[in-house]
Formats: sequence, structure tokens, C-alpha cells
Amino acid sequence: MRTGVWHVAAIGAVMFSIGCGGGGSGDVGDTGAPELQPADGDMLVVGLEVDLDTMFPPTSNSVSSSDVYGNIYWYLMRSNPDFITVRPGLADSFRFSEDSLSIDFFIHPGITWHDGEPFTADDVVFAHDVCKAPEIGWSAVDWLDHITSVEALDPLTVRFTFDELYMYQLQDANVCYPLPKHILGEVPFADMSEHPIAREPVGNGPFRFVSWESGQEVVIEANPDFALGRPHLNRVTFRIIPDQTSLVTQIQNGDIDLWTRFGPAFYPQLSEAPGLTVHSYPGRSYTYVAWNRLDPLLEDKRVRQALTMAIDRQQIVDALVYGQATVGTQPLISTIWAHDPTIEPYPFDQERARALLDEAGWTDSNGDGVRDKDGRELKFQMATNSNNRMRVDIVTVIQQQLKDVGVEVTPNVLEFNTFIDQLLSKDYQSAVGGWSVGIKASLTSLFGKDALFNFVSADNERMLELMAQAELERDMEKAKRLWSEMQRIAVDESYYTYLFQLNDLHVINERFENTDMNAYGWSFNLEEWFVPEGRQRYNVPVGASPMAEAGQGSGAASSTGR
Amino acid sequence: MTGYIIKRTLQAIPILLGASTIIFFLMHAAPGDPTSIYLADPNIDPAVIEQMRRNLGLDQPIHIQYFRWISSFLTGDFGYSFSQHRPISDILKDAIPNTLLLSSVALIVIFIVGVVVGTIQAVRQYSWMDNTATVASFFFYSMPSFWFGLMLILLFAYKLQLLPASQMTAVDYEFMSGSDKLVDRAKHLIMPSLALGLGGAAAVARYMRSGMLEQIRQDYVRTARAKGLDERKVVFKHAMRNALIPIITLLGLYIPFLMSGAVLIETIFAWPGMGRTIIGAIFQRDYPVVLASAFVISILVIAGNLVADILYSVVDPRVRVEEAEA
Repeated sequence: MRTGVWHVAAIGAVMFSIGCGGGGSGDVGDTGAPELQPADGDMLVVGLEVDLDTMFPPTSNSVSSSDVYGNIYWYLMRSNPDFITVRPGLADSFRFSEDSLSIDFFIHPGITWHDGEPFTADDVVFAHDVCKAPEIGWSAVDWLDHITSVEALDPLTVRFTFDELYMYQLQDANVCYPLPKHILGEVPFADMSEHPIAREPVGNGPFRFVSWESGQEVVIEANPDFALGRPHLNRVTFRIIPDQTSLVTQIQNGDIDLWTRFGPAFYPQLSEAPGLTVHSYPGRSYTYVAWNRLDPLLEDKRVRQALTMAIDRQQIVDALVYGQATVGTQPLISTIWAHDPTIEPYPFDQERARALLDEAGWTDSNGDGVRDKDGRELKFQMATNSNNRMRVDIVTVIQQQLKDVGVEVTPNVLEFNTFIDQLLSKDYQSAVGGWSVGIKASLTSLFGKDALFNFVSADNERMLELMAQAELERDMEKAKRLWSEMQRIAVDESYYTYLFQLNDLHVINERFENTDMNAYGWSFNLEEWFVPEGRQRYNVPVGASPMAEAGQGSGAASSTGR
Repeated sequence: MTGYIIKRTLQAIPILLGASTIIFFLMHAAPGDPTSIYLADPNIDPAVIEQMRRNLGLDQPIHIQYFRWISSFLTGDFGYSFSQHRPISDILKDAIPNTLLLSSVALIVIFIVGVVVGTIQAVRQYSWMDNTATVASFFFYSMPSFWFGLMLILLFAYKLQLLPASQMTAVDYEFMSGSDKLVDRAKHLIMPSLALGLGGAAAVARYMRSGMLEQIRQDYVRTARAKGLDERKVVFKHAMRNALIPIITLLGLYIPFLMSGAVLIETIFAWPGMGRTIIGAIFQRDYPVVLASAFVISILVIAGNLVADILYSVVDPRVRVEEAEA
């Protein structure tokens, strides 16, 4: 296997330490089974709830799209699930300069675009220009801010130069997919998203494009000429199935082999279903209760702490998320390197919650079951968005639990865009919402002064100071300490109640082997998946599709596949 | 007749323009815009969102956006989809045939099942067949089509595994022989067209039953029987032709219903038609796609009504005469 795992020991030194951890990362849940021989062939059928938007990576915003084009286009180096270290992609290795302000990447010889043209360092340089162009409007363009130049030293060596030394140099150099200069070189930036390549991509990865019928299916197949070795599966077909009842039916009757990111409500049914394997691991999103500090009822942090302690978050995880989540503790979730596992969650302790509310002056003076202070009752609205059934249920559960400590909550269920509007304009009292977060430790957008998303109106000066320092700190250990201190203050201030970090759930047909799914995504090692001979279901030849071999006889294509 | 068609077509123009304008302003009045999807990720740079809004032309005042849209619209350019990154004419070219296929098969189900069941009921009034069909009609008529669709999937795709649960073709369709392809397409049409059409068929059966009963009691039917005409001829040639007149109007009215009903059915059965296009576009605030699809659906509805009116005059000669006198 060619999964060398790369360890980046420290930032700043000349790094070239290959820590090839034996058999790589193929340790999947198959317990004790005899070693199975990888075989080429068969097809994977994936059910997608939403159609792709485009397959031009810089203008795509959809997860469905990256699920597909992430296997057609590859990066120079690919990320590991820790999002700090990297593994080889189109490049075999890389080298930092003496001052660490530049990185050279060494491209694997023999890689070609799917139309046969050689893949060179020029394509990497070209892609960087495309990704930076304002006409493209790429959503991650700020990741390129510290890259001062990208140059091709020779056809197989490309150098990224940075204006300063920081923690994410490797990540930032590998965020924009290389693009085929020989196809797009003459196309104006503004017209690129309309170029045919956006719907019929010509990539450089282990799988190549076959067909895309809008709203129906997208087909990719093994690239037999891939210089790093062809993937085992002959074909991957992504079928667009918007209805969850259909999806759950089709994964169980074998029409589809993989349903990615399914909702926790289906967990009990699918984890028991015969012939299916469920993959579950902490994902990159979390669910919170936001408290509006500007509201006079919630301005005292003791009140916010008491509310957190009065909510039984473990019960919510067990009852509403079927255990497929972890109770939240802090703003930086466990997939981010700066997460501090030693920060304890607030206990569920309604006695302490009552005592804290008493201490803050909120007592039930008129005996109506709701606490009050200076003639105001402790009752407020809790907003959430209607298209997320789980969040609506969470609000109902919280309403019950807070009633036990004398707090009255009125649910306020809103259409998604209205909900976001009210949050951003701080026109709310409390809200149940969620964030999907990236891979970098960064909280300025949530807590920074005047930040768009600082709708809790965080104001702790010390916290803001620490946050600014942590984001600039280049030494990882020091940065971790700063983040930890900062997060402890954030937890003490309780601007948010961190309910839980959701697991990513994928369910796959048992016939597939070596399916390693992790925080990187379900397709972490798709090129290494295989179905042992004898278990293969579809007899689908590579290159037999009309698109891939225009003009060739259809002798091989007459197999029925059933 | 030609003059009538031209007059109706001209009448449709202000209706279509007015409807599109109302939808334009309603869509823009709703909170959020196509860049709202970024608001789930706190790490996105607000400057990037601003740049995207500029690229999409959303930073312009609404009246400028309206005039830009209407002027390109009037020249036949539907514009460019924000969410699918391709010309809307391409999107419509993909989706319209699929919707027409599904709704015309559903229309055939409505018509044939409705007329056949209704006629049998009328001819065998108060028999066990009539009573069973009556109960069944009310059952299917009162059932929401999406729920019926889900039940069909559960029974035929999940339990019995006889029919495919969704989509238009099987996953290995491109490797099938010509006749297998036809069978595969037909299999994929059965459940969605039944789910879409059976409710309507039940209603048509009720109308057909009462229409036939009324005609059978008419004097001309008695005359036909009296002169010794074969009962089959009496029913199918004389009575049925007259009983069909109200049904034709009904079918014209079913066309908009099929379009709106198809929104849910297309989602459940993963059918890539207009209904799914418009729903997806509404949630993503893809204004140009919503406007263009609403426009196309309005045209189909108006055309459906026009066709019904024309058919009406074909079946009932009296309509033609009145038209000529007017």
C-alpha cells in the first residue's frame, strides 16, 4: 500500500521526516477476518440527497460536488484526518526552505490529465492565479493571503513562498486544486464557471469523469492510466435521491451501496440492518444554544451558567441523537488541533442551577412557578429553524428542563433565512443553532469585536486579547496553551451552551473492504476500496462507457451487470 | 376557431408578465439570498461573501435588478443559474421533458382508469363491483399523493422488491439492450405515475359514473335500445360520447394539478423534473431559476386549459356553433 503517513514534527524546522507507520491507515472495523485479497472490479453506487452544483472546484459550494470531484482532481499533498499532517497526493514529498518561508513540492513523475496531457508544475501555478481571481469569487480565497508567489522550478517541482511563517503553510498550499492550463489557459476568469469543463471535468486523479445527468446521476470510473496505480473499483455511480425514505429503502434493498451523512434518526434502524456497516465518528459540526448577552434577562453570566447546568445535554444526545454525538465543552471541537480535552463540560446539576439563579437575584417571589426580579419574569423566546426537525425537538426538551428550575421558554420556530436574519441582527433572546467549522483554530469570526457572527455580543477583554495572540502564535504548544486559556474564559462566560458535537454517519454495503472513513470524509481512501472476487455484484467494464471511448466497438458493453 | 386561439394566446401575455413580476418581488422580499448558504460556516470571510454578491449582481438596487432581468427575459434569455452554474435554458431543457413524460402518463392513467371504472360502475349500478369501486374511489381520492407514493415504495420496492424505488432508470441502464431499456423505463414509471394519477382517476370515475347514469336514462338511449341496437353500441357509442364532455373539461383542469402534485411526487421518486427544479431553487434563493420555472409552469397551465377548450369543441359540436355565432 502506498499510504505513507507524514508527520510534521514541529513548525519552523526543515521538515522532511517520513514517519511511515507500517501498514498505513487501513485498520477498519473488520475484526479478526482473514486478510482479503484486493481485487479490481465492481461498482459502488452512492446515494446523494442533493445534486451537484458544478464540478469546477473554485466555484463549487456543494458537498455533493466535492464528494465527486475530490476523486477526479487531486491535491499535491492530501490532508490527514488530524488536519495538521499531510500524506502524498500528486506530489510524493515536499521540503521546507532553511527559513521555512517556502515549500517545494515534488510531483510524482508520469501523472497525466485525463485527456493524456502531462500534469506539470505550470498547472499548479495557473490554478493559484485562478483561485485568487476576484471574478471567480472562491469562498476560501483568504487562505491564499499569505502566499506571495507560486513558481514552477521545473516541470515536476513547484515552490510556494509565504510572507511569514505560520502553522497552516502546508494546508494553504494545498487548498486550491491544480487545474488543466492547456484547457483553461486562454479562458477569461469570468467565463470559467461556464466552460464545458465545469460539467465534464478533465482531472488528474485516480478516477475519471464518465457522465452527469442533472438530477439523476453522476458516473466516474477508474483511471487505468493513473501513475500511482489504478483504483480497485471500476466505477462509482452517484445517484441523486432527494427523499430520505427512498434512500433508507434503497440502501436496505441493495439498490444503493452507500448513503453518506445520514441523519441520526435513521441510526437505530440502519445499525441493526443485515448486510450493512455503519461508520460513525466525531464530525465537524456542533449544535449550540446562543444566549443574547444584550438581553437584560441574560446579561448576567451566572444566569447563563445556570441555564447551561439546568439542561441535561447527555439526555438530549441519547434521546434525540441516538447517542451519535458527544456532549460539547468548548468552542473548538475535537477535530481541531487546539481542542483542549481537559476542559470539563458543565455538569447537569439543577440544584446548583437554582442556587446560582437565586444568587443572581432571580427568585419566584409571587409563587407562580416562574422566577422574577424587579418585576420582570425570567421568561424568554428560544428561536430555531424549522427545516431541522432535531433542533425543534431540542427546543421542546430544553423548554421542559428549564421549567424545572423556574425558567419559562417559548419556542420560536422560523424559516431558515429568517432565523439567520434575526441572529445576525441580534433580534433574538436565545437560539438553538449549529456551526460547521473548518480545520483551522480560529474564533475571531465568532467572538471578535464587530464580527458578523458575534451575535452573542461577546465582550470579555481578556478573552479577546488571548484569542488575538493565539491566532498569531506560530509555536504550536504555546498556541495550544493560549487557546486553552482563552476557551476556559469563553466557557466561564457561557455566551454559548455547547450542546453536542455531531457524529458523521455513513452506511455502506458489507461487500466493500478497506473502507476507511474519518473526519477527513467518507472518501478518505476511496482509491483503496475493493470488493473481493466472488462478492462482486456489477460486471461493469472500465472504458466501456460511450463517453470514454467514442468510436470504439461496444463489444464489452453488452454485459448485463445483473 | 383560429381567431379564438389567437385571442386566448394574446390574453395570456399580460397574465404571464404580471405573474413573473409578482414572483420576482416576492422572492426578493423573502429573507436571505443565494449567498446565505455560507452563513453556516463561521470561518467564511464576509468580504468573500460581498465579492460573490457583486459577481452575481445582487449588490444592485432591486429595481435595477428587475429591469436587467425583465429585459433579458423579454429577449428570450432566461439567464444563468446561481446554484447550478449553467444557463437556465439548459436546466429547462433537461427538466421539462421529464415532467411532461410523467404528467402525460399520469394523465393517461387518470383518463383511462377513471373512464373505464366509471363506465363499469354505471352499467352495473349497485352491483358488488359498483360498491367496491365506490369505496375504493373515495379511498384513493382522499389519500395525499405523497403518502400514497411512500406506501407504494414501502410495498413494491422494499417488501416485495418488484419495482425500483426511485429514479428514471436503473443504475446499469447504459449496459442494457434496447428492449431491456424500454422495460426498465416502463418499470420506473409505474409507481410515480400511479401515485400522481390514481387520486385524479378516482375523481374522474365518480364523474363518469354519474354522467353515464344520467345519459343512460335519456330518451335517445331508450330509442337506441328500442330500435334493437346492440347494448354495447348503446353504451359506448351513444351514451359514453356524451358522458365524456364534462370529463374533457376536467382533464384540462387537472393539468395545473398535475404540475403542483408532481413537486412532491418528483421529490419522493427522485424524478428530475420541473417540480424538483423549482423547489430546490426556492430553498437556495436561486431567483432566476424560480422565475423561469414559474414562467414555464404558467405556460403549461395556460396551454393545458386552451387544449381542453379546443377538445371540448371537438367532442361537443354545439360549442363550435356558439363560437361561430358569437
